[in-house]
Amino acid sequence: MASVTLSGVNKWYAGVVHAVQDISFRIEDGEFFGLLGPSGSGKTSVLRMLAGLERPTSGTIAFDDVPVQARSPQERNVAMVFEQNALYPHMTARQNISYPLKIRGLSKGEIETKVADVANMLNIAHLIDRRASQMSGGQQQRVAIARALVRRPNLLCLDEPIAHLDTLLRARLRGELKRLQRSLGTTSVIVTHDPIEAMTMTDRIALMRDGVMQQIGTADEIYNRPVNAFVAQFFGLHSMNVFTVSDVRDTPEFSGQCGGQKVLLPDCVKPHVQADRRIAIGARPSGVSVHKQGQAPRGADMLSLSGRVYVAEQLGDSILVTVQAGETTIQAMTPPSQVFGIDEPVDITIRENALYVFDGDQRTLRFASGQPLPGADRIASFG
Amino acid sequence: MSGHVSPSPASASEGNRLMMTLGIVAKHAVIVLILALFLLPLAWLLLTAFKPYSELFTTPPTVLPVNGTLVNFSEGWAIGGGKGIGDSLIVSSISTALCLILGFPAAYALARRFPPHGQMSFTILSLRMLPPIVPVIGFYILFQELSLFDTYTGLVIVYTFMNLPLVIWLLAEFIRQIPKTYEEAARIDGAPWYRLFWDVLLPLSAPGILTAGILAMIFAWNEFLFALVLTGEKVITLPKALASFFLFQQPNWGQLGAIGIVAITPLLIVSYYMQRSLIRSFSVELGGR
Repeated sequence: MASVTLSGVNKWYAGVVHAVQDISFRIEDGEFFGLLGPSGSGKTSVLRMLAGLERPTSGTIAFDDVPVQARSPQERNVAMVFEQNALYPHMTARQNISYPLKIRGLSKGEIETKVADVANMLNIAHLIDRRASQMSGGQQQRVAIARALVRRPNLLCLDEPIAHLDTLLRARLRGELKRLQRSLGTTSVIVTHDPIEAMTMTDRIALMRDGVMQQIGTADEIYNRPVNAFVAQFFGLHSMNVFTVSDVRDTPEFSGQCGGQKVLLPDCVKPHVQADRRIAIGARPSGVSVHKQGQAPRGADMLSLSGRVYVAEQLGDSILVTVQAGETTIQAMTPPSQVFGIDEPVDITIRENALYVFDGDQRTLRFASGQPLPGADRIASFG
Repeated sequence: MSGHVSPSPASASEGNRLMMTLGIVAKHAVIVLILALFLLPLAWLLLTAFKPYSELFTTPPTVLPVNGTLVNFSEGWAIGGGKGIGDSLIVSSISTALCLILGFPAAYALARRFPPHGQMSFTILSLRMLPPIVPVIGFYILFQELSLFDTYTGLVIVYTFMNLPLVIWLLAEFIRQIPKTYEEAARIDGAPWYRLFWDVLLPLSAPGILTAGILAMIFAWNEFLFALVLTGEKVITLPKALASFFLFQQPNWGQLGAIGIVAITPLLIVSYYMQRSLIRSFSVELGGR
């Protein structure tokens, strides 16, 4: 086990693609760290550099403050679980798991004990003499995890280890992996494109986009204080609504224009409006209320605009209503008792305490609602 | 009403069944015809091998040997068949081994470091497209100068040169189909390069190696032109030995048949057992486009 420090790490491919741009962060000893981002964000490149499969073009990677960027995976004692094709197909599960120990020249007896231990830990003892082709995807990934853990690595690298499994199994393995990591205390990094995976499993998350680090923090911090609109929209089960309001004016009422639609703004936004009279508003679907036309409450503490229902999707314990307001669409999580028809004219309100304010270019967060509503999408994401 | 309707579909389905049976019969008849075309010379070879010389030219000819004998085998073996088989075995197995040993690293580099179907791949394969008659004169002069004429070494070199491009190309295509993650997993597991090769790469490419090896072996085993031009009296491979049966007199067809049968038997056995993996590696190449 070790702490891991990256400082000023860059990765260029073929001198053309700047896949990882000046990334620095520290993973504490025993921490479960998530590298999150859409595809092409550079998260896998970071993981491969941590594992030693690739070298950074510049910058340092240190394990327990000892630079390791020039060392091989073996010298770093890292283990890795791949997304697919993780197991050697010509070996049984037992041979797969013992392989790293065999390489290290352990005695037969030692290998047997360790393999049996880790097989019991991962509930794969009954599969131990099967080959990869005789196991399901979930079983294969379990064996791959066993192979990674059997030698107690300094760092466990997980490259989308459960992305290829079906939904139910994924949810179960999520929990299993988290418990396993906790009980072993192995410093672990997981790469994923799924915010829910990152939120549910890890202690802290680094969110990347186009090779650039966007934000590092706990799930709570990133969810409630997203540094920019991209993070806000990417993170969470349901994307945050973000729309730019332009031509903001004070008279006759504090309002602006959004895609040809008039928006009444709450007073709390006032200090953040810039010289270009633009501002970006964010709100999670759980913070948006939809009302029948003309029935919306009015007040200086809320934003309101009107639109038409584009579609209403039944989610069981709530309804996800998508409203077309001018050229913007806004999603709202409404109670199942509220029924809306397609194309029904509606009013939308967002209370100040559910409101996020970004600058007009959606680059920086200016204002976050204090403590946001304990909204439905937050609860759903952990379900 | 239903009483009237029910027999007619039944008779229709009977008709269908008849048509289907006829179709299957026709299909098989065609297959048998084609097979007969290919197998007839082989059957003739086999039957002739067991006929004594006196029986070869009787009228009416016998189909099955009447006085079956093994004398063709022993005589054929003695007058050069044995030497031919031995020399062919030496030259083709050594050149095949060399092809695989030299070809595998090259194929690996080609598969992992060069773009698929790029210039490098084409350049290597294009060497194989050279008609053998083109380099043979160069080889003849070269071998005279280097004292490689009429030596095992010389022929091994030529066959390796001839088969290497194909082996590299086949293996490279095969290695490309092996996901890189297996190698990366082995590196992560701490395997040094030679263990990565031995424990992971070699077992995974075994079917490809087998296919390439068999093809190289068959080509070397059957090769005639280079053997004819580049060897004299010391090295006599099987095709050359068989040809020499014709040289002085009316050939003894029985001996020719016997040695011919001995010559193709190993190839038949290997191909029979390997056909599945042969087909698989070929379809990998074709499907990989």
